[in-house]
Amino acid sequence: MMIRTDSIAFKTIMTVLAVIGVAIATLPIFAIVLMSFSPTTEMRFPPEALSLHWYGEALALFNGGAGDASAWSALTTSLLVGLSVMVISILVCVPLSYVLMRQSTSWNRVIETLVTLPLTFPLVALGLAFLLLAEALPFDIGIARLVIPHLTLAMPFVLRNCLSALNGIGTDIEDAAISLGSSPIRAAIDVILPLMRPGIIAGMTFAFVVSFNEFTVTFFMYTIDFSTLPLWMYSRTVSSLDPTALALSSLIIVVDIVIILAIDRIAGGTKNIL
Amino acid sequence: MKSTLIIENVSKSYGDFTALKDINLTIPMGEFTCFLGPSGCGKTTLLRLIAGFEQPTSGRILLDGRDITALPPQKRELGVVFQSLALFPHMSVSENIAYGLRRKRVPAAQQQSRVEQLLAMVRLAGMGGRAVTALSGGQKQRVAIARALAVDPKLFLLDEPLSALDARLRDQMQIELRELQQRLRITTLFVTHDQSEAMMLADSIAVFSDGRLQQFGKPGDVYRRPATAFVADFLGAANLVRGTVGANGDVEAMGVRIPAIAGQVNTTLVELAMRAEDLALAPLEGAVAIPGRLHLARNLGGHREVLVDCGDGTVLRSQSSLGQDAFGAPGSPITLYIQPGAISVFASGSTVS
Repeated sequence: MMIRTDSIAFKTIMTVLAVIGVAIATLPIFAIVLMSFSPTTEMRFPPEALSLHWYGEALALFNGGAGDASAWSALTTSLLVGLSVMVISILVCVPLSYVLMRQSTSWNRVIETLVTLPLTFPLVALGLAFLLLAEALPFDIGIARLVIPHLTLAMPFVLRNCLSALNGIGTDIEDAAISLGSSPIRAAIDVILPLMRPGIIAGMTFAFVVSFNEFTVTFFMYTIDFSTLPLWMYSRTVSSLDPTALALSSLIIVVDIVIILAIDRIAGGTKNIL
Repeated sequence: MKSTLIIENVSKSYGDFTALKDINLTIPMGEFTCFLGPSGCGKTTLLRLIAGFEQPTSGRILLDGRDITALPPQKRELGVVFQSLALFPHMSVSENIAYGLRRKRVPAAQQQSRVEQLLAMVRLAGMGGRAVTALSGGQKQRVAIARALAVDPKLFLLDEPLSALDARLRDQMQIELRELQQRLRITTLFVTHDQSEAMMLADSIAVFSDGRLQQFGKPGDVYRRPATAFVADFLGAANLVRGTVGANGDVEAMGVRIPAIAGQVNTTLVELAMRAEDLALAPLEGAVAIPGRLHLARNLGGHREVLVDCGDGTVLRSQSSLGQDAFGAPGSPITLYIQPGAISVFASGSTVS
């Protein structure tokens, strides 16, 4: 039986489902943003008045010498780790996806599965595993303590995006560039990379966002020298809820939305995003 | 640029599958040669071997006397037009055409004048700044042709480039392509599965089937004197009937004894190929008469087609441009006439069908 998409019952059901879906997706963000405007330390919902007090506090944290050194350090670590993960995962995944796509061997599926597998592991187990490995090392690997686990979590997204970007690019177009005098590497740079651009950009966004938001594995791996913003925010709220963290969260959400909109514009509204 | 291409004992296998079997071919200099055959016959594989995208399993390919079998494709200096066209979608029309020139490090001013010249040649003058994705099918075709010719290639290779166009546009592009080739006198190889396209374009046709070269020759010769029953059938859909060889090279077929046509064929069972336009409805001097019954007569505009049942299950197709009087009802007796010289005789079993 065909579903009549114009019937009132159908429209009603779809509207209700859409409202529930959107509510689940946005309610937590809405709550955080709303509470961040509360003037008091008491977390009463909804707030009785609106104030920018906690935003001032949040910005003051990063206000040079007068601010909170640990917050500043956490932010720079988060940014540094996020950018490293973004760059390294792209440098690995672009060539890897190309090889997986162009050379079909029996290893292809094995490699693809191994790279994607960490997505299915319990994060706590993964954190424990990385901790054991890091402690077994005879020397200190510095910020790589955080970069390596984040790479493990970001690479599945980056690889998938690169593979799907390559999927629509036929071998003819490379052969055309080669027959016109390009070496295979030159042809890849001239023709394949520009056509992969939307997938590469989407992959980079994912890599950064996954790393910037990561909590569980980082919780096992952080040191006094290298801690991240989510951990810092957690430490601020775990004993007593500090509305500064809410204001900070709201600011991060705004930055996230700006990044995603910018990426979406650059990538030209492609469907490569996982 | 005029170049000669020699293909020597070339075979290509993929695992157990033999795509090309022992091909020997000398492509005439400055001519338009078509590789013709049904899909999977090996014609595109041979083109890819010539372009260097794939390596032959055995054999050699010589371009102007030089062995290029092991030469990578980027060093062969050939112009290739792909079936998918493979235009670079992130580049403009001009950038596409200039790509090969840029790789050759031609000075920018020269690049620009060469691109203008090519745009004019393929009748796209003034469209250099357009995005290739904004072009029509025929325009994309022309960009692909201009891009391939920009570098003055030694050979011009085209892999079924017109198959995606509608009939009218295809006809127009065929004429343009032929004119362009005759003007430039560039040695051209054109892969197609369309026999009328091959007849229309080519100076020479190489017919392939099952990875083997069936025949190589001028279009008229290949059409009039097919070397195998496959060629007879593939070019212009001949009537194929079985027959037996008797004394003096006579052949018994369709209930008729045809005198002394067996020629060099030395098997008892043979296949005869007769072109529909060689089967006439009116008696001719020296012609063999084939009696039968009218199966169907139809007017196809320019010509009339008559299907005649010869009694033993064979239905012959006759075409003539002559205005014909009304035919009898289906089943009424009718006689076809053919000159014995117009009948091609092959040892039985040489067809694939």
